[in-house]
Amino acid sequence: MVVEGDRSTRRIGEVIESNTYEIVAQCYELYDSPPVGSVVSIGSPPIYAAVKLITTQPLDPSRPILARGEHAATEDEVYQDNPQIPRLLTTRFEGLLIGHQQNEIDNPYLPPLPPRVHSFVYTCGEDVISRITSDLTFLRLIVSQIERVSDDVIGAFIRMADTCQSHDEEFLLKAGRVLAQELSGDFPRLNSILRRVKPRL
Amino acid sequence: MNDNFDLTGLSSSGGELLGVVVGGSLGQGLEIRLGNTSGMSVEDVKVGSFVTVRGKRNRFFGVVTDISLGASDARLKHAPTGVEDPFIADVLSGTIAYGNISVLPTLTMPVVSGDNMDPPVAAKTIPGHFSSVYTASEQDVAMVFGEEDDQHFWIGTPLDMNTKVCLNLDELVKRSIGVFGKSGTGKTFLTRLLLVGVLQGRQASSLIFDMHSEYGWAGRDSDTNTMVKGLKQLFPSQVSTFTLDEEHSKWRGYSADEVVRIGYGDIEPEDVELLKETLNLSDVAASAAYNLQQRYGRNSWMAEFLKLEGQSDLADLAGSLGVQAQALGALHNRLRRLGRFGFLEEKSNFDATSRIIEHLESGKHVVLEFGRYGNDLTAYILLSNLLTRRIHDRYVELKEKADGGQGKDPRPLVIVIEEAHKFLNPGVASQTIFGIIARELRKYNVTLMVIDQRPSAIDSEVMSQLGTRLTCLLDNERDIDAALSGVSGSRHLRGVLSRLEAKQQALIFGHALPMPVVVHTRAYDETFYSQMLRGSPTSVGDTTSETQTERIEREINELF
Repeated sequence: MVVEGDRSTRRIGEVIESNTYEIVAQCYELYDSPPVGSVVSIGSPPIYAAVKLITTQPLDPSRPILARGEHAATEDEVYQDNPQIPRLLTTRFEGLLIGHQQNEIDNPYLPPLPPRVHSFVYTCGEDVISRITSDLTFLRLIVSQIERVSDDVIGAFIRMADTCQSHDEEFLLKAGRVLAQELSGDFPRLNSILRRVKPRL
Repeated sequence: MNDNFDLTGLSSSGGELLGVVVGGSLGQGLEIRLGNTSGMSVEDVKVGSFVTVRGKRNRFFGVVTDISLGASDARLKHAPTGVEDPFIADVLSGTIAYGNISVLPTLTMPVVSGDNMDPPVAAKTIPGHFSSVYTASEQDVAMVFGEEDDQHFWIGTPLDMNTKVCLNLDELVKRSIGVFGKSGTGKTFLTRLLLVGVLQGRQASSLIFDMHSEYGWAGRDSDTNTMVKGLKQLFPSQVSTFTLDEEHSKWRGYSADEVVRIGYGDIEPEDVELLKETLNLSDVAASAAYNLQQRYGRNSWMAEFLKLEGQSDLADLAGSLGVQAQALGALHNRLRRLGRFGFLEEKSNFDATSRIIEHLESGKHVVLEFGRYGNDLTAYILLSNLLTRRIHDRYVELKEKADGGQGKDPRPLVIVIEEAHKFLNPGVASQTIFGIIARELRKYNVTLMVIDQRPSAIDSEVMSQLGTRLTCLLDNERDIDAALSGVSGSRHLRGVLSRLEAKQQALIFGHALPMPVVVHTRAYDETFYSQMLRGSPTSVGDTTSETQTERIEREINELF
């Protein structure tokens, strides 16, 4: 784990595939992906992405994983008995690009060029998340790419943003209304996302 | 969706933000999407209330004509799942599910209000997309409906507001006026108010054919079963009361200024023609009166005819006139019935027409009370038609003389008739004097105030000539259509009209107001009396025009 600058910001991996809309990053450590819906920053000046699909798979696609825990008492025992496992597996995640920084300004639209392969990927601190989710334009960008992203990712993004906007009690409602405006013609989809967002008492 | 949409705020004159313009046309009205975060609910907006729209160059003044609910996705309507959750419902309302209001823009006003601004003018364009819409403030409404003064009479207040709506009296009396409404919706009170307005305006005299003796001395408020003051009590020096039924006036504790008597000679075949329906006469029988007039002369035909007794005399006369004996018999029978009216005399020295005109010319307002005859439609139709025809003839003569440079213009006259459809239905409107007056407009300085509960029964040509209409609640479709005929934007007013409350509310539109408005009419009570006595030119300093007798009479009345 590499910690740089802000204590809450960690370098977690590198970009291994990249296009205008999305990246695929490989984590340095097995199972060390940021959660679905969270925001990562890529390279410098940072490009922001929302984590969507996380996969853990064999490094060599031609060598499928076999079940090994038949005689083990716990799952941890499986890993302890087979120390080679972490070397054979890798965790990757897909990130949906949602904006970038330019001249120290966060722009809620795609960067002109996608991140380069091997760009470093960092988790974002609360201050950054709070900053880029405060006016909800980043949320609009995610929803505008609705065909590339699942309801759960949007729901998770909003819930994560809400925890960083603790000074705004109405944040969920505002975010809900932004969703409603962007999805005004798709009531079932909107409803499905709202159910994932609504406050639990 | 623009972000401005979520703005809350106030207009320059203090109105609350309602929403933004999202569509519409000048003819069909504007479509306004209600905002969602200003705490404004669709239930806060009422049909008939006023709004202002801030365009780029003009401020528009309009009236809410419809309120509707919309949804951006039709599936919401068919499967409203999730909406039971308060959070989801909160998110959806104002976004996917929203309120719309339709607004008819009627006037444009300057964007910046100042002291010497131009008055509002009829809207000839509409504000652009996303113009902000505000509720109209008291200040806006006052600017449109004017201040109360000598020429502007305070008739009531807009719904849910305390601003005065004032009628332009000059415009009011220039053209005919219509007062409509179902029975018991306050037509009489509204008419009383209007008459007080006409009286205060001093531009015109009025002649009121007071069928149920409600306007002259006192009227009855059927809701509280109390008596309210009539015009004579409020403005004793400006109002003259004529009565057909002296006894009736005495019972009510006052004496009328004049008692009207009509001679047989005053009745003309045209009057009989008009009474066809109420007397149940055939066309042939009614037109036989013309033959009789030819035979016996203009002034004595009826007296001579009624002198005839017996079937044989009538049969002989029928033979010599060439009319059916049966028809002539029916006519004879019905005219005899007329003879039973106490105010009809074979020979009368009282020239009702001249007396009335004298009073009118001296600037007075004449109320002709029918007393007990008010329940007899025949008497009402006969008298009002007969007198009006003569008065109109006199006015035509005076006016034409004045146009030729001899004498001055006759004082404008407003003739008030109730049950107007009896005079102005399509079958007789072309023949009666009222039809003529309504159509020829103010050419001869005579206009009508028609009071009716069935506007659909009034000739459409007459309806189209009404300058100002005041309409209380109507619920019959045909009546609503008729009351709104020939009015631009009537489709929008329909909804307003059918939702009026049954009491003290009226939709007023036409020349006397800059735009249609629903008013809560001013209360006709002690406060009103004292305002009239204070504000009226007659009350305080008008001892000059009040004669000694009138003053004494007034003082006696005040004492008791």
